[in-house]
Amino acid sequence: MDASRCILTREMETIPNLTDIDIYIQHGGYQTVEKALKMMKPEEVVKAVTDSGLKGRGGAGFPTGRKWSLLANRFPRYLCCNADESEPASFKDRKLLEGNPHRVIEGMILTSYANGINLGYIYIRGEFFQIIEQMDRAFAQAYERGYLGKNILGTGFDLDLYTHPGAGAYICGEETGLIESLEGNRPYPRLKPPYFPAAIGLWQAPTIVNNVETMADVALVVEHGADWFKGFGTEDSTGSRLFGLCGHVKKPGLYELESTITLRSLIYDVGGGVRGDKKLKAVIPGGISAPVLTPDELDVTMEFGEMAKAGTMGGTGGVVVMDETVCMVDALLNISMFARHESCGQCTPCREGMPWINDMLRRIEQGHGRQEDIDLLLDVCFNIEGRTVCVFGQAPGVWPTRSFIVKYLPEFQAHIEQHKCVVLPVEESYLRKENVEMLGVGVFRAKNS
Amino acid sequence: MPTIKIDEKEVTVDAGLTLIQAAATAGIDIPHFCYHPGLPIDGNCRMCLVEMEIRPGVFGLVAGCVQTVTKDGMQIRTNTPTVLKNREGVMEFFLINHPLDCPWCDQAGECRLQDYSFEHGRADSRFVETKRVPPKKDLGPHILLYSTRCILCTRCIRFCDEIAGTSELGIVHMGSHSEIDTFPGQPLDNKLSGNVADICPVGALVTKDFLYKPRIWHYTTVRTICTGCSTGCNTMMEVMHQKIYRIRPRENMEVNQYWMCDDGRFGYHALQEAERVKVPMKRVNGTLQATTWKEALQAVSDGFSRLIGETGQSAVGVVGSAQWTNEENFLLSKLAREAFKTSHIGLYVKPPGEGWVSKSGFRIEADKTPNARGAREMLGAADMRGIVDGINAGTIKGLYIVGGDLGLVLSAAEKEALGKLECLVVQDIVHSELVDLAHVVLAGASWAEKDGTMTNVNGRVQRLRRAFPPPGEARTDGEIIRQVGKQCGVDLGPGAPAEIMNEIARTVEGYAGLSYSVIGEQGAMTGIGQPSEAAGG
Repeated sequence: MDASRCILTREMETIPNLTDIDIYIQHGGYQTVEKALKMMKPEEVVKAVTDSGLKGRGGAGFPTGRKWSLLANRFPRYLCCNADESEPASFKDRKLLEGNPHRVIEGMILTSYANGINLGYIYIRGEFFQIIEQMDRAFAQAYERGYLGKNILGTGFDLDLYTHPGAGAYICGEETGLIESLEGNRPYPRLKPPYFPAAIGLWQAPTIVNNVETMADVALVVEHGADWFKGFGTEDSTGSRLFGLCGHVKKPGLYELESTITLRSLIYDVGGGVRGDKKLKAVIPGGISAPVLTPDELDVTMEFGEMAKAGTMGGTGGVVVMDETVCMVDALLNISMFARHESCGQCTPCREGMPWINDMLRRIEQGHGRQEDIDLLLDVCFNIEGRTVCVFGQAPGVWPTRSFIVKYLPEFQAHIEQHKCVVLPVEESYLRKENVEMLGVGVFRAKNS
Repeated sequence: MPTIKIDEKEVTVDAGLTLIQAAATAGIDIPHFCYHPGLPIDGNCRMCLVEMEIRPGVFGLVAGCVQTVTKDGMQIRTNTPTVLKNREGVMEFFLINHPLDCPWCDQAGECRLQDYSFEHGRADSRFVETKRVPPKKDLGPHILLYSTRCILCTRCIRFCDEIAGTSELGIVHMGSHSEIDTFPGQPLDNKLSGNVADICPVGALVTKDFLYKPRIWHYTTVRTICTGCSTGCNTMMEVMHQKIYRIRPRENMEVNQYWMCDDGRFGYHALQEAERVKVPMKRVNGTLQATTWKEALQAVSDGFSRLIGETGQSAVGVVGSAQWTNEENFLLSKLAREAFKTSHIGLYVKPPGEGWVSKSGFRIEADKTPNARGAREMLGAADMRGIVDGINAGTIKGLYIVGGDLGLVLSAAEKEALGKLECLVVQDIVHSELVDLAHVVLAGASWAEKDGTMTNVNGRVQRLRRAFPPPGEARTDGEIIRQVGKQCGVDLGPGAPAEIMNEIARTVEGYAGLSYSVIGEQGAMTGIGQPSEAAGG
């Protein structure tokens, strides 16, 4: 890996006290803002971001330039930087904000300038109270130096940025849930249509909701140009990405890499292999919402498109490695506990379905499973997917459940047949790809009823 | 107006209608729980998902309550396997934690869960886990919440937020632990609170008033109006064995939309608990004694015969009632002019109560009588000051006054004046201070016991319908008036309310063009027809 490409993490690792604005400015910070505000038109910033092919780093991988182009043509507009990082196995936004807050602020200023926004929020997960305090200090420093406030750098551009502590629910990270929470309501996701944030967002105004890492990447794109950014990764997944490697690996941590790296290389070369040199049993490649991959499916690159082809998703880049000691029923039970706990309760399928799935899995794990439970679990998944107000129903609910059950069917069957928790040897625990296809059950999406 | 295709049926509807509404115009029912035409859209129950053509040839699920008709050629399918599978799925999700206590649930028989379960549910349950049992709650003076039955459609919350404007209700906790609740120390206590039980699609919210009453399928439903104030909310009165068990609002967008106030809803108790006048009475040696109709009518004509002179010199006065129907007041004015030959006509005016307007504009009028406007127009009189003055001046010596009001109060001046009369005939339904002064008492009928029309504060003429006959020997008021006329030797014409309305349409200004068929279920405004030639103003 070419170290020069790891801008975000290299800055954080090599420069002490980077959170202080003076240090940050000494190392060239805020020059991009000055350059853009004084020498670029807002449309040029938008064009650079669109040309760069930057895709949102929050999980869905939606092209950032496209998102901006969908903004309704009315004012005021608002910016919400989504720092409600609550996807289990994801910790990239937290590290970024801890280590390099001014890079994110630069991105927010540039995004606001590009889209005619004069007021923005960074919605930070409530548990990150130290980050909130640090962000407040960073904002205060930026105000002092004239990078925020009225008439920034004498260009006539006004921008106010505020921190907002999260309200303590996973669903606050869903973009319309976040907006509801910002408005002071329960974070019930809004109906889409008509409430697409770009059309009717915060306080009914057009709103951009972007992830923290996306904001930092915007600053990189504007600083170095779209072509430089496109020089990394592939056409499908430009730039470098932050990957959070965790679970049973020797060297867990945050790595900034190009998406061309394969999952196998990420685990064995970057992560140093499986802890204790045990056998690898399963990998969740992009936060727990992403469908699980078996040891046969590791030779996939981390590009968004390739991940989708492999039947999973790039998601937030949080990679969970599970070794041979893991009981897959127990692992899924853990995920479904999360889904049950974090379902907001607004719409029926998710509110009622998540606890049901969780109850059934607990029964199977405790040795009280019935043969019909497998079909029932899959049917409940079917009844949830695509029928809910927001994507929560499928993201941490249906996709993990279906992929775990279908791919690791032998282990689930063993639990049911032997009426106890059984951890099968890795080779026997999962179905080969062709066998999964023979089952006729789509893993990522139900093929048909 | 776009033309869209729903299940092979083409319909042309207004753009902006929801798919549920558009399908209804084609006679297709899209099942739903959380959608209510009078409330903001929430889209949470997911029962109304239907398939819509998203790209040519590609259909996807959309919520029928959220998706609106936008353009020509939209294709909607409401009965495909995917749609039906979703309904089954949603019904199953609703029922896995539902207590299935239909045998003792107040909603049984009018419950959407039951109806849709019948259409889309399963005969067996696939759920073998433990059911969730949230607590039963006393939300306020009128409302109980059986949380186990609740499907969290939030209709009640949206009602309190947007219609009543009082926002007492909200959801507490999260996910599957979500419950409807009030804020601590702030009960659900607003003037419209009873409506939340009506709009609750399941048996979760019930009124304490109706709790564990006989099953709903034993009732007879009477489509009538509320007589609690001059708004005239359209209602459905549910009766059995000559007793009212429940009154609920009936949709009328021009009057009460889908709502009614708690005063009107629970006001029937005052009638049922009142001490009714069930027999005619006559004052003998200073005390009122029960008598027969024949003797009572004779006493009226005896009392008045000396006082009736030529028109203009008659010493008899007549006072109408804003509790009475237009037809009865019309007959009364006819009785005054033709039998008593008097122009001394007055109208008892009840002191005003408290008015209120909700956030959505639902009005409770300060005038607590249902037909003040109609009575004024039938009688040509606005109050009874002229009558009181006439009594005090000695020009009126006999008075025929009608009540019908449960809360009738007389001012000191009125009481004093009535005490001076030689003959006071009172036609009323309860023992009141008016009855105490009477020489002859005629037992009349309440609003639940007669047919007719009433004119609300805005001039809308609406039907009042009889649910059961008057108690004891009491008779309907129009019939009594006609008998009094007959006793005095005057035939007051046809007695059926519909025929009287035809006569009103011919003679009373503003009522031209009205008839019972024009008034129908939703009422009709006065002043719609050409001014009648006969009406002199």
